Amino acid sequence: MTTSPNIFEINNFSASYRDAEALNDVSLNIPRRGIMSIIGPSGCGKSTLLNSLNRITDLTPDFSHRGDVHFDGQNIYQRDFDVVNLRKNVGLIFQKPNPFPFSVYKNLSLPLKEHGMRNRKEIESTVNESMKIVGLLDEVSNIRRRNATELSGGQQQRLCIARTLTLKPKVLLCDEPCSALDPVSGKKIEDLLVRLGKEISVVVVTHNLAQAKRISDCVAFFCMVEGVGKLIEKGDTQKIFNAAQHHMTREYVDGSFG
Amino acid sequence: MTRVMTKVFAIAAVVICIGTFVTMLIGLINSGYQSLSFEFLFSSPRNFGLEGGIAPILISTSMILVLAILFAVPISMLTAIFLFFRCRCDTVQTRLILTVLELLASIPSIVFGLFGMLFFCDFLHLGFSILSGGLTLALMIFPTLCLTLFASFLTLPNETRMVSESLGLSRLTVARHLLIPHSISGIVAGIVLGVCRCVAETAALIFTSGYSIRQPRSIFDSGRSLSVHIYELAMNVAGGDANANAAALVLLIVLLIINLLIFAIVDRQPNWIRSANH
Repeated sequence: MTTSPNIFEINNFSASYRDAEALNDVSLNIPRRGIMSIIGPSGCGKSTLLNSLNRITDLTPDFSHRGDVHFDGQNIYQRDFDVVNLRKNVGLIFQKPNPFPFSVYKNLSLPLKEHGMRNRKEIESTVNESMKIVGLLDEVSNIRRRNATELSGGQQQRLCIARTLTLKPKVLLCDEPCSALDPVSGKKIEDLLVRLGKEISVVVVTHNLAQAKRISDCVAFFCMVEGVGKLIEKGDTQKIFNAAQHHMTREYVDGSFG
Repeated sequence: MTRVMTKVFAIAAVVICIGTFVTMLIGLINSGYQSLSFEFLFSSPRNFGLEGGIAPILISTSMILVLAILFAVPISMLTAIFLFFRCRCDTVQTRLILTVLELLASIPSIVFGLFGMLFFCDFLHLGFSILSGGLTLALMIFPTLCLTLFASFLTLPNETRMVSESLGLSRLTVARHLLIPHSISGIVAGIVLGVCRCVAETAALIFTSGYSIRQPRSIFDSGRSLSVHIYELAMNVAGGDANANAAALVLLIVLLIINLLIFAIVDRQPNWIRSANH
């Protein structure tokens, strides 16, 4: 196994839906620790990139790609690649919280059982551990009876994060995790992501520039160029917000874009 | 104006539905109730069904029904689940399967009866038997059941599908814990429709299960279903009208009971889903 400092290495990656290209020639490394924000206007392929990393794009019939993506040194698009193992290691959080319509406990234990954990005690302690990390352990009582859909939006989103954390992922991909939530709940998610970023790799797609500035260690700026999403610039958060090299990045972070 | 028209049409529809049902019911009760008795339900027919009851016929009917449901439900469930997981990846293939299913669903039951006779009775040497009848009915309700199940599966939110996929959940887990609980009422409605079609079926059974009014000893015996019995009495036995009406009344009551029973189970659904989920 390689000991590259990057968990994901994306080389010349392009993605299309049917004939429309969504992403063109993206090369980007995602470090093993810390938070990377992906910013940019709507429709520039940020979500496509995120979905490609978990290979959830397999569900889209007309999706095709070029280039390659290495996860932990392995090309995720090679034949015989273990997609289930990839998804176990790469958690994906969607914009809208989407707990499964059964008990909080089952929400967390189902993926565990799926990935081979059989011991009841082990499952229980892993569930509790995840609940504790996301701060739901004290907030939600009676998790075996309480239906997850009865929780508040912010709690649901943290539950979704806890659900992926039970699998001990190496990467957490978040697609605008706070934009459907109120500011207080959003702040809780932000704090949680910052804590998680100390241990694992967190990638956040966000439209909230202040949030990107607050939480991320590095930033990648995507934008449409001639109708196709491209990576314009990447770098440390400070550099992107204060001394971006590309004029489009400067305009976007200044708010004078377009 | 449109609102008034809508109201008029709605009322007309209700009147037609209820009117037909009530008229039929009154007719059946009028001409059948004299023959309907405790003895009628629990004794064997004598003299071609002009005398005696319908006990063996009720037993044959339930055996055929149970067999049909036992074969049809699992197979159509698996097919519908397969279609559900394929439907977004492989459009040509699934469209073909769906078209074939729709075609099959529109084939008259007598054609299924003839096919069942040739295939199950002759080719597989099952003869005129309850098993042949059950299999034929299973085949007959399969397309409709499959399409109903598939339609109710499609109401699963796409996000749920995405999330479960992103967590690496297997299709079996998704089907068992998310898809089936989510579409349970659609599944039950589909099964009720299937059951009712089976109980009401005549044409397909004449050729496959036969006319025998003896008490069936096994599923390899011939047995007459209730609807076939009604048909026989009304068409081929002079003076059989009274008993035909009584049998029809029983058929109606049986259908009503099955419907009520199954919907009573569905109403309990939230409870057993909750208790099954620990």
